[in-house]
Amino acid sequence: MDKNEIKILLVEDDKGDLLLTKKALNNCPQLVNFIMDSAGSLSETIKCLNSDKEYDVILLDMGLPDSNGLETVRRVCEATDIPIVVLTGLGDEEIGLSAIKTGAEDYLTKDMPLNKFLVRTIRYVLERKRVEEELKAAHIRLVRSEKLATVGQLASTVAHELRNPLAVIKNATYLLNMEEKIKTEPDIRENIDIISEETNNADKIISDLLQFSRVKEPTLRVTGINKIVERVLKKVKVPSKVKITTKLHNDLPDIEMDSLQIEQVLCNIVSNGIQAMDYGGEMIIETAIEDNYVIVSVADTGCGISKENLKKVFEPLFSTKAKGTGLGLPVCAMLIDKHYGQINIQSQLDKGTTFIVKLPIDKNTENLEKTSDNPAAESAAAAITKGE
Amino acid sequence: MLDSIFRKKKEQTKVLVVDDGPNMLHVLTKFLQRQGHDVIVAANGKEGLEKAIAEEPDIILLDLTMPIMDGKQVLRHIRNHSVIKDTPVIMLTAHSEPEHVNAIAEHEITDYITKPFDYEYLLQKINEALEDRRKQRV
Ligand SMILES: Nc1ncnc2c1ncn2[C@@H]1O[C@H](COP(=O)(O)OP(=O)(O)O)[C@@H](O)[C@H]1O
Ligand SMILES: [Mg+2]
Repeated sequence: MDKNEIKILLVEDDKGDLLLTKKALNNCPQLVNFIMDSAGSLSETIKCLNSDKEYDVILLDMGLPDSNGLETVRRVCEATDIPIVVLTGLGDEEIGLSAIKTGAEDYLTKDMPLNKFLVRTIRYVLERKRVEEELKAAHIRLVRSEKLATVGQLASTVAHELRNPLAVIKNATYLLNMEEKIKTEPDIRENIDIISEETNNADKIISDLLQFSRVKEPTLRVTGINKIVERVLKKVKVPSKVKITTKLHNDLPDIEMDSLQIEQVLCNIVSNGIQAMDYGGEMIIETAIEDNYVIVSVADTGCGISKENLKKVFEPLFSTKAKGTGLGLPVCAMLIDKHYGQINIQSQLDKGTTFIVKLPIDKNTENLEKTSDNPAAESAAAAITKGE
Repeated sequence: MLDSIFRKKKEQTKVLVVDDGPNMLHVLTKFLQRQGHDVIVAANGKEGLEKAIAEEPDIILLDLTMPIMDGKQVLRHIRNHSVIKDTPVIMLTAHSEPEHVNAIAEHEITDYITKPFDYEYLLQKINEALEDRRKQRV
């Protein structure tokens, strides 16, 4: 928080008190700039809170024309998460404590020298709020990763269970195909082919799921990234309306990596790019070197990703596709994380998307610490360790 | 080459299939019979072990996860049995995990196949296992 500026909503119906408080704040010999708005009633307060304006703290007089006492605190608490400091009458410690129990962060009685205490109180409240929010975020992450662990375990069990019926369907279809009669019946044949195809699709989904719930530790070997890019291009199916160009840097150092895992990452990213170019387009795959990193960027001219979705693409099961599993990018994030690398995304809606994968050349230098730009990688990874 | 085809035709292979899925048993039986094999089935581990002892099959296809007695337990009994201890066993499993690879290395199982599988692959694995066994006997 850049806190040379603190935005305050001052709720006070008494003109005299209002002036006093404002004065106290303005006379503070602090390196803080207070920006103040005032409201004289509960309804006015709610209006302010619902407007576009943002506040850091609310100074609240409990006796307002349209609400009184603890009820005022309760109502304002319901309306916002912004910390509230209650202003009470002379020596009203009791009321102050009740206000805190009702949800206020702190209180000031009118006999406290305002210019001395007000700023300090506000500072403390804001700091407490910040720590509390950090704690809350950590808690949410923890719950999410535990949920993921449970879901991951369940998914893995279900996936394994599904493999049995799938095996029977696949084998029964094979037996049908062996029947002589089928060969002269194109209609039946066509439907059998559909069954085969969809069985393979289902198998693919299950494999995706298992791939996700079991990300292995990489087996490191010194390899060149260009070779992997070429392998990926042989593997993915490119529709004729999509043109892929490569710009491979011809003097890249070989680096330690699990080539199968990196291949999997690039396969997922390239497939996503192709899928984003429904109406055709161009993809440029480029390798480069930057600082201590070997870089692979995959740029497409597809549909792009909205700002809102950009935050979610690494979340397991997030998908905007009818047949998507939403597991491709989370797996990528986890694998790259295990290589001490990073994935960055630049995207513009309707223009296209660029995925940038960075792999450290020398892991022994400063970046031995696992760095991960996205919490999804962390929570997903946590889920895996728990699931094992 | 000709000789081996001839031999395969002549001696019918007795295959024991152990799986708790009736439909799986059905399709596997149909397929293996078409390949000219003599097929015996068992619907759970216990029955599988009994039939293995009574019928002394040439090869056993053994499902890993079954109620009552699972594939691993059946395997342990087989390997400890004086008569059938060397019978090739191919484990059928929904899991593709390194522990199976270890089990192969330790000669507990001859091979494993992950469900869903292709019949061509199954046949190849069965033939390889039988071939190995033949070589061991000579
Ligand atoms: N190159 C891309 N262009 C546009 N959207 C993308 C691209 N790559 C990923 N996305 C978005 O991220 C989502 C998650 O991708 P992914 O995890 O691979 O799952 P899936 O491909 O199964 O949907 C996609 O559904 C899509 O919305
Ligand atoms: Mg994908």
